[in-house]
Amino acid sequence: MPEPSADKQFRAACNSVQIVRSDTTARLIFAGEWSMQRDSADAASALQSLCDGRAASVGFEASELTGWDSSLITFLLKTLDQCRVRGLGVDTGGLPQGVRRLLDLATAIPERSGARKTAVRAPFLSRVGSASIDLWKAALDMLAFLGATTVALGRLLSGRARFPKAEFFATLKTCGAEALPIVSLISLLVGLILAFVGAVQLSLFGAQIYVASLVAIAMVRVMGAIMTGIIMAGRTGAAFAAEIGTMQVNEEIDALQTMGVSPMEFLVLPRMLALVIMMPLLCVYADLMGVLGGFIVGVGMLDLTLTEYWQETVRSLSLTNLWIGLFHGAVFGVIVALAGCMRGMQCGRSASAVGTATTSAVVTSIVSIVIATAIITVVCNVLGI
Amino acid sequence: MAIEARNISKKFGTFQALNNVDVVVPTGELIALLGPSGSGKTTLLRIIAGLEQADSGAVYFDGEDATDASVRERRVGFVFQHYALFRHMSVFENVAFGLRVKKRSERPSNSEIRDRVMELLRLVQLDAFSARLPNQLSGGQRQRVALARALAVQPKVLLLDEPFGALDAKVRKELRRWLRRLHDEIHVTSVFVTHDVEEALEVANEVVVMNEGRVEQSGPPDHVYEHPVNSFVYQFLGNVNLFHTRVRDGRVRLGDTVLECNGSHGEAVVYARPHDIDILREADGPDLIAAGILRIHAIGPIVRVELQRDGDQQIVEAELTREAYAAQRLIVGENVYIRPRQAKVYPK
Repeated sequence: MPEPSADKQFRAACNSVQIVRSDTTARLIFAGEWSMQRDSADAASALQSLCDGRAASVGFEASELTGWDSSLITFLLKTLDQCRVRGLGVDTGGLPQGVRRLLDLATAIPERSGARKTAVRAPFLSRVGSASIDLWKAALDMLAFLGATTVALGRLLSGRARFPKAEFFATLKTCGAEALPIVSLISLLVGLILAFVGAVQLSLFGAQIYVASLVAIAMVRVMGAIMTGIIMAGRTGAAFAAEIGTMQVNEEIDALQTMGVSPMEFLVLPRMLALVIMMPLLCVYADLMGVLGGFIVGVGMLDLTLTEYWQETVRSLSLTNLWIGLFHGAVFGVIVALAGCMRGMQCGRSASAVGTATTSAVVTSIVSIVIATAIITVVCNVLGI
Repeated sequence: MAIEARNISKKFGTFQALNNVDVVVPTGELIALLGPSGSGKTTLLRIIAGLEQADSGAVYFDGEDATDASVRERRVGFVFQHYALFRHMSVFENVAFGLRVKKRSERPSNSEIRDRVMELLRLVQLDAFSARLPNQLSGGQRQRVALARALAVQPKVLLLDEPFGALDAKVRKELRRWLRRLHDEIHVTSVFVTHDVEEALEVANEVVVMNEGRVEQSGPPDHVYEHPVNSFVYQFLGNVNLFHTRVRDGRVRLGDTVLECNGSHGEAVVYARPHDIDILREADGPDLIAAGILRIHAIGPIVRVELQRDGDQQIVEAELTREAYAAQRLIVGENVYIRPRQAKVYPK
């Protein structure tokens, strides 16, 4: 009878598995402490060598095992899997009783097929395609909604629509006066940042004085409007979506309809008008705040005098800049109100749908604002204004 | 005003919500659309109201085609399951809303509005709560406000979508009696949707039983309950026991009971309600069904006995009155015989 040969030894600092082979059987001898915290790097190679060898059955021995946790079970399950694949006989008699019971538990029920996540990613082109179709649909939805709003506006102007004045004034207040503090803060800081970044570059040429015109033109022409637009998208657009979405969930919009009230006229129109009126006003206010921010940097850091800064600001600004800024503001007002109300009206019938509607309103607004700015800028450039 | 819905079909994506549905509501009647959830009853109601458009079919109001009429033109009162009251308006303003938003030419004066709203609030017994906000009211009260609001515009038709679905059992019972009385007073043509059999049978002049987008049966509540046309209606209207048997020469034998069956040969299922099953201790004839008693529950006025048939081990439920139970003194584990007093056979 040949001596069992230890053809390979695996020793780690604290746990180990050793394979002892005889003619037909391989014995896996576990020793030390098997735990998740300790690395058992040799386990994988032991498994590999077990697979490489030729044995008809596999046995286990665990008399030197001092401790174990799920790392041992995981390893054993892998081993059993391999044995099953290769058709090896397995005798788990040498394992501690607790381990055997856990193994029985783990193998008692076959793995349910389909339960494991199999992420199937559509090919790149098809993803791009469906995203483009979605985008196109969203754009069509928005146009349709804009059309419906215009019809409602037409009915209002011809005196046939029911216009809720109280709601209109309440909205005017929330999206106008109540937005002032945050608009002040953001615009002032944007003015400061513009001036600061500009100052560092311009002072290289000793042209600090142009910080005034930089801040004035940037704020008035576009930055004031964009910052206000983004603030209003997060603040008012989201609120519109949430308000109208909640009414949708609550079936209040259906109730309005059964009483002969068009939700477009009664809910969407006052919000839209309020925001379109308030946005240009907020823009002017944001412009002022931005210029004030630039002024703080100019006078405080660059040693410009008050009159110098003022004169340079006035000299560089033209009325055209202001009109363009106000136009931006009005367009953003329409966009934010449109996105907010549309997502609210499209809201599903569950409470979680309101959250989705709100998020989607903000995203739609901001994306549309950026796209609109790009278009307006190009158009202005082409027209030379 | 009479309502007719003809050949209504509606699909949501690939889901066929309604499939060629015909429903007629005669003037002044109160009918119930009864069915399990997903049977299309709410969709049908919303199509009648104009809140949803049918893919095909037509809706007639008093013989006039109203299929393309807007919700506004249909002049319906709609009561929603979750009340749908305007949260920021007082009870009074909620009820007055429908009147205040009318065109100037049709709008009643303020004092008229006031009178009418207060009258309606008295009708729904909430005149003391006119200044409250909806969230200061209980569910039953809110639903009554919603009803008053629906009635304020003097609708030609009143549609109720599971009006008592969100209320507890006791309030529900009170409110449905109250709705019945209210309907007897004002006689507005009404359709209400429910999945509660008892509610439909108690309140409606006529019930329409729906399943999977089709009308299974319609008729007066008694008639529908006594003569269900198919096994679905039979099963939906109450608890049942099923006995699988075979038809021989147009007859079905169940124990010593012989039932006539339309089908000639093949398998059939015999349906019997638990309260139609007698439990016998002594066999008084041949061919009785033997069973063992598994469990006995006393539920209020009735006692439910769960039995297991000896042959095929099927579970049979029987319901006894407390008196009958006390007289028989049944014990769990006992071997007894059962006999259905009444049963229906439907071919499989």
